[in-house]
Amino acid sequence: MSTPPLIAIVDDDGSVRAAINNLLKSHGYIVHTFVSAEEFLRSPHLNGTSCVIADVQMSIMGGLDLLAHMRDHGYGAPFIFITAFPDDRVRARALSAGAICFLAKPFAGQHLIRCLDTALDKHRGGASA
Amino acid sequence: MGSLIASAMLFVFPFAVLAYFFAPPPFNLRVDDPQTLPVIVAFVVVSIVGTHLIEKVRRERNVALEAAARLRHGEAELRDREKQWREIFEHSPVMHFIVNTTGMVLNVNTFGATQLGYAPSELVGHSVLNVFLEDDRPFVRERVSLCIETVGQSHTWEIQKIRKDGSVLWVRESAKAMQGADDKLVVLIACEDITERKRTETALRRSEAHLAQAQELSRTGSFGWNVATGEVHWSKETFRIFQYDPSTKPTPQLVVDRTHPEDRADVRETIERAVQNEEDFEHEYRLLMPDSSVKHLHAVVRATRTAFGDIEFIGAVTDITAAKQAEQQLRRSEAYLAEAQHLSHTGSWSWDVHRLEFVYRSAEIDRLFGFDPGQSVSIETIRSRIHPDDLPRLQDVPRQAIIGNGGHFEYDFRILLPDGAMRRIHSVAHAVVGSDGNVSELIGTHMDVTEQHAARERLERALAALHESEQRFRDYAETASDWLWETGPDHRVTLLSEHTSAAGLPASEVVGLLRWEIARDFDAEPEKWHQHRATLDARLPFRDFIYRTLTQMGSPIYVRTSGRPFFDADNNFLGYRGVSTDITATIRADQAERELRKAQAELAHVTRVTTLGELTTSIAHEINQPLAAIVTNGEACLGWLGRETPDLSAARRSVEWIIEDGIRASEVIRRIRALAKKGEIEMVPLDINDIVQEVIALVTRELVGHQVKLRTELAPALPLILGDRVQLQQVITNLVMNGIEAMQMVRDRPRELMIQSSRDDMGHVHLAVTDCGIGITEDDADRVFNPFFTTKSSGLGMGLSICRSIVEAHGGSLSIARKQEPGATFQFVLPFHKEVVS
Repeated sequence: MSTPPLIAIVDDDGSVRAAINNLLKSHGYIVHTFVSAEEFLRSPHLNGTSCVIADVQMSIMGGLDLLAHMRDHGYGAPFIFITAFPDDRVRARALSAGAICFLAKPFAGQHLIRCLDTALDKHRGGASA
Repeated sequence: MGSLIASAMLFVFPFAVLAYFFAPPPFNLRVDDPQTLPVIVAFVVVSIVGTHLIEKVRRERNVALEAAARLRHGEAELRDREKQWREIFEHSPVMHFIVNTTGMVLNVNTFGATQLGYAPSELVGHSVLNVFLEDDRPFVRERVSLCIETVGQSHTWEIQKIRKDGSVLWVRESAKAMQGADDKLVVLIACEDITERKRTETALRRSEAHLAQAQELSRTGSFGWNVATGEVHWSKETFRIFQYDPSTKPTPQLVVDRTHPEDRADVRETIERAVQNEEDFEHEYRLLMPDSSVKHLHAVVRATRTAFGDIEFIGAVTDITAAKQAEQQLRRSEAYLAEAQHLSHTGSWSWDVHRLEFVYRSAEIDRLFGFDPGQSVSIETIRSRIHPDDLPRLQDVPRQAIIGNGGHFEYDFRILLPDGAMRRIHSVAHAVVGSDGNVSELIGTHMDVTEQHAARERLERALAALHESEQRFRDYAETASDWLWETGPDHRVTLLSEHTSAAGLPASEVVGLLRWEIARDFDAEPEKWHQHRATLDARLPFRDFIYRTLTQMGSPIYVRTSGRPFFDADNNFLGYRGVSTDITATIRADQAERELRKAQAELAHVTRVTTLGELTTSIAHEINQPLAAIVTNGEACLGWLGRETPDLSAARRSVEWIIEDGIRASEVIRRIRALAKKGEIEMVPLDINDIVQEVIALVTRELVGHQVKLRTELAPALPLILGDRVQLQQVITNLVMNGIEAMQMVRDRPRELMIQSSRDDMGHVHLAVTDCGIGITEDDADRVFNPFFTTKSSGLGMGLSICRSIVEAHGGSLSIARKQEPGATFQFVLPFHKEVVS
C-alpha cells in the first residue's frame, strides 16, 4: 500500500453526502465530497481518485454524464452509482457504461463497502496491469 | 371782793399782834434796837407770805364760787338742752331707738313710732326685732352685737322695716353703743326713711336695665367721649358690638382697630373733622371682627359742651349688619327678579285704563317694545309698535275689563320693532278695581314667546318630518321583508303587518300565538330554540334567526326573522318588534349549492390523489434520500463504535444526523398526507408565499428530474388571503406540474419555471406560474379549463377545471395570461382577507 485510496462522493443531497462520508471515514477511508459533478471535475483530486461514488440524478450534469465525461478525458476511476430513482433502464445504462455497482437509496452500508472494495481491487488491478 | 377783805384783815392782824407784844408806843416805827431788824424783816416776809396766801385762798374761793355759779347755770342749761334735745328727739324727722343689749326698746321717739304706725308705748319694752322682716332679724342681731363690741363706734346700714300695718319702708340706720346712766350699755339707733330713694334707685336700675335691654334688642350701643379729658364711656352693648371685654378700658383707638381696613381712613377722617369742628356727625362703616366676619355699623354722634366747657361727644352706634344684609338681599332679589324677567323675556306692567298710559313698566317691557328705559311713551308710540292686525284686539282688552268690571285676561299679540323685527307676545292681565268700585288699572305681564312660537313651528315641522320618515321606513321595512311583527312582553304576537298574507301566513291565525308556537322545528331543533329563548329572556336584539313553519296551505317554508326589544319611557320591557322574510327559495338554493360544493370537493380530492400518483417518483425520491442517509449513518455509527478504540463522539454525531434525517423524512410524509387527506374545507387566513414554499418542497425533485430550473419572485409582506391550505397547494402544484410537463420536449433552451407573487391596488393577491414550454394554442386557450380537457396521454383532464372551481370558491379567478415568449403563464387572483382590508 503505497498511498491510501482516495474516495470521491458526488451528490447534491447534503445529508446523503454527509452520511456516506461518515460511513466511509468510520471504515478508515479517505474521502472527499462534492456538491456537483462540475465541482468534482474542477477538483485537484480528480486524478488521484481511486473510486467515485456518484448520484445519478443531479441538475445540470448527472452521474452518468460525469462517467462519460471522465472516460472521455482518460480517467479510469471506477464508479459506484447511487440513486433515489431506481429505474431499470438507468440501471442497465449505468452498468453497461462500466459502473461497479448501482445502488438504490436507501442501501445497506455493507453493500456499499463491498462495492467499494470490489472497485478498489479493480482499480488497483487496473493500475497495476 | 371777798379776797380783798381777807387780805386786809390779814394785814391788820399782824399789826395788832405786834402792838400787843412790843408796844408801849403804839405807833413808834423807829427801830431802836438793831435787834429788832430781823424781827421787822421777818414780819415783812410773813406779811408778804400771808398776803399771798390770802390772795390764793381768795382766788380759789372765787373760782369755787364761779364754778358753783357756772354749775348752777350749767344745770339750768342742761335742763334746757335736755328739753331741747328731747324736743328734737321727739320731733326729729329721724326715727330714734334706744335699745339695750338684748335688743329691747328702751326708748323710741314719737316720730319713729309714728312712722312705723305704733305709739311709742307699744314699742318700748318690746324687742326691736319685731319691726324687722323675719329674714333680716339675724342681720339686725349681728349689727347690734357689733355695736356692743365696738362701743362708741358708729355703724351704718340700710334695711327694711315693717309697719304695724305690714307695709315696708326702707331705712338707713346709724347705730352706736354707749354707756347708759347706770353703767349699762345701750345702743342708740337713728333711722332715716330712704324708701323714696330706694324707689328711685330701683326705678333707675330698672330704667338702666331697660336701656341696656333696649340697646341689646336694637343692637344699639351708646358711648360718650370727652375729647379734652380723654374720658370714654361705653355701654354694655357697645362693648358687645365691638366684641371687646367689658372690662377693657374703652378708647377711640379701639374703634379704629376694629374698623374694616377699607373704612379705617374714612372713620379716622370723620372723627378728626368732628373734633376739629366740634360738630355732630353721623356715619356708616364696617368692622372686621376677629372671626373675619364683617359688621355694618351706623353711628349718630352729638357734640355737647360739658359744664366745664369741654367738648363731649355722645352717641349711639347701631349694628345694622342684618339690615344691610336684608338690604343687599332685597337688592339682589330685585336684581334676580330683573334677571328672571330678562331671562324669561317677561315684563310686568300696570296700565291706567282711563289715562291710557303705563303706571308702571319693568325694564323688560322697555326692551320688548324697544323703548328707551325710563322715558315716558305716548299712546301713539305704543300703538305704533303693535302689529296693525292685533291692535283692535289689544284695544278691546281694557274695554272688556271695564265692561266686565274686573276679571282675568289672556291674549296674544305681535310687536313690530322699528328695525322690522317681530316679537310674539303672550300677555296675562288682571283688572284692578279701584276704591270707587270701577276698574282703574290693568296689571299684567308680557311674555316674549317668539322663540317658543318658532320652536313650536319647528316641532310641528319635525313631527311632520317624523311622520314622513316613519312612513318611509315602513316602506323600506315592508319592501325589505315579507312582514312586520310585534309581540308583547309575553312574546305572544300582537301585530302582524297586512302584507303577510303574501307569505301564506294570515295575521288572524298568528296573532295571539307564542312565537315558537308558529314554528314547526321547535321539537326538531331544541338547541336552536333554547338559545333563541335565552336571547329573548336577556332582552337582546337578534338577527337572521331562521326557522321553519307551514303556510296556510300546509307547505313548509323557511322564515328568516330579526327583531329588537322595545321599552317604554321608564325602561319597562314591552315586547319585540321585527321583520320576517320567507327565505324558502334561498334555503333551497343554498342546499343545492352545498351539494355542488361537496361534489366539487370530492372531485378536487380525486384529482389531488391523481396528482399524488403523478408525483409518486418524486415523493419516493424525497423519502428515499433521508432514509438512505439514516441507514448509512446508522452503519457509520456502528463502524465508529466497532473500531479498536471506539470513536464515541463520531458515533454520537452519526446518531444526531440520523435524528435530523428522520425528522426530514416525516416532514415529507406529513405534507403528502395533507394533500391526500379528504377533509373538510378549512378557510383560514394564509400567506400565499408560505403555500408556494410548501409546494416547492414537494415538487423540487420533480423539477430536478426534469431538469427544470425554478425561479421565484415572491413579493414580501403580502396581505393574507382567506383560503383552504390544501386546496390552494393543489392549485399551485397543478400549475407547476403543468409547466414542467409543457417543457418536457424543450431541448433548445434552458427549461425555466417562474413562480411570482404580487399584489395590486384593488385588494388582490396575484400568483403566476410561467413556463417556457410549448405554450397553448389559441383554440386550446378557450378549452383548457373545461372538464376532461387534456393534452396529456395520462390524467383525467380535470386538473385545470378543478383549479378554476377551487379559485372561484375562494372568491378569485384563474386565467391564462398571454405572453410574447414561448410558453404560457397561468395566474390566479385572490381577494385580501377582509380583516386586513379594513
